[in-house]
Amino acid sequence: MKKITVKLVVWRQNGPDEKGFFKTYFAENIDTDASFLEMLDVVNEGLVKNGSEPIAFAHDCREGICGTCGAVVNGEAHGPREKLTLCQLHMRSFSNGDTIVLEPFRARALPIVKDLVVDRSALDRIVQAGGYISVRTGSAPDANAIPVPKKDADQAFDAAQCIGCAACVAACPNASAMLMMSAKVSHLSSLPQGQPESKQRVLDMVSQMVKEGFGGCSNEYQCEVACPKGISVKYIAQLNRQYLLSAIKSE
Amino acid sequence: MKKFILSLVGIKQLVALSGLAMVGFLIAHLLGNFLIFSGPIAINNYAYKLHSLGPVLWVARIGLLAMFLLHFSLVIYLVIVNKRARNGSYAVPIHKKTRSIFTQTMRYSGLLIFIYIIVHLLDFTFTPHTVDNSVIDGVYYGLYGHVYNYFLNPIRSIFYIVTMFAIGFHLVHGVQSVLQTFGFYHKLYTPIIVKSSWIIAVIVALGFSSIPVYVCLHNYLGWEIYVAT
Ligand code: HEM
Ligand code: FES
Repeated sequence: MKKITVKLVVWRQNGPDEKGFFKTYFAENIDTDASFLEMLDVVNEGLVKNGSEPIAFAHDCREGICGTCGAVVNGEAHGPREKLTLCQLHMRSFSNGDTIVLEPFRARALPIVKDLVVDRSALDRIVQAGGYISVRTGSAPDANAIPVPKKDADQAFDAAQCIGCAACVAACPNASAMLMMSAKVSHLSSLPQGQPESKQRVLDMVSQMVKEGFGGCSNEYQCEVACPKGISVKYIAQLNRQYLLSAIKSE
Repeated sequence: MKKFILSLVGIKQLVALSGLAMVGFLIAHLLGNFLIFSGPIAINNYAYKLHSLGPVLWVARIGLLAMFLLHFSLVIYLVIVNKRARNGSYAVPIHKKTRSIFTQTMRYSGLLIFIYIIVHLLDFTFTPHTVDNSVIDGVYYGLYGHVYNYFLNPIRSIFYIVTMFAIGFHLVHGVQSVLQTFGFYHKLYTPIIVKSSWIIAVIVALGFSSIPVYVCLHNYLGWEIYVAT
């Protein structure tokens, strides 16, 4: 079993309106098979024992499916490995003596709650603005009553992989939520069930994104490489196309 | 409709539309400029024909000016909104994985183009070809002479070439970006279009730059001015 010691430079901020600062910690004798968050747990146990405030970080599933975790590790959202969430990152990706700078995702629309925890409800409000479909109430509809071409189903499924972690926002030079939003738009608009709202959906979601204070897309594609689920920027193209058609046809 | 066109995605589409219109103009302008290689009669005739279009020319000019102002003002808006969206800066800057020098410098290459366009309008559009600026070896050559004398000044030539490369920089990202902005994405065609973006950028940068180089060579090597029709 290999053990390493790393130096952590962590963003500490007591509350949304407090001034943040960097503080240095040492994570000593960490098993390289430990996950990154487990390493933080170890550091936090030490802090609690000393009577200090532990480092606040968000997490839930710890298996890359919920989208709760996330921080910028040495300038990379979710750390140095591609298509991984922070909770799926392991200490074997680091070497003994490494310095790891840990910062929260930075965007005006995602205010810092504490330390590495950001408030992602702006993304929820974007989804609320248009990420829904109308269904009839009553008994459950028959399975496969609505035929969906395989290609469309695959595309919807691919886009639906977005876990809303906001790594795209963190990595975007404009702190734009276009990749996340486009995944939601494509997910629903690729399916027949999503058609009735498809025109209004994209207009409403974009309006909400602007209201929340996210930036726009400059087609730099930093989001695509940061995305732990590998969502493609082709969905942004699809969003742009739908937006153009819907905006022209709207009153 | 207005509300949606004037929202981030719609604005970006207007930026792309105006950018594309200017690219179209630029290519036409370049082809016209190439007539300088055929001597003073060819290019002066071309300029004369353009000017005799009268109202059509004015429509084109006003359209172009509108595209320019639209692009410029909307880009300023986008830059402000996009800058404001990031709250504080990262201590370790986000790694540039897909960010190239071309995408990062859009606003700076654009600014240089802006300055250049003003200089260009002042020097050519608003400065008539007179006996003070358009005479070569005692003979008046009109537009041809004006351009020729203009580029004999090395500072102007260098500034000109630098800005032409700035346009090239702008277009490497710009041309291909327009398709994404309007929502065109294709597994096969998109990579081809990205490559043609490069080709257009290189043609524009080298094409325009060839004129001051030609003038300087022409003068330095003492070539004859070609006046046959
Ligand atoms: C007046 C000076 C100019 C400035 C300040 C400027 C600035 C910019 C900026 C900052 C962008 C990126 C916008 C964004 O994605 O957020 C852009 C895009 C673009 N510009 Fe310019 N530009 C200028 C002139 C021009 C000219 C003369 C042309 C054409 C010959 C041009 C063609 C384009 C194109 C094609 C795009 C891409 C639009 C897209 O991404 O969809 N620009 N410009
Ligand atoms: S904690 Fe659920 S994705 Fe990381």
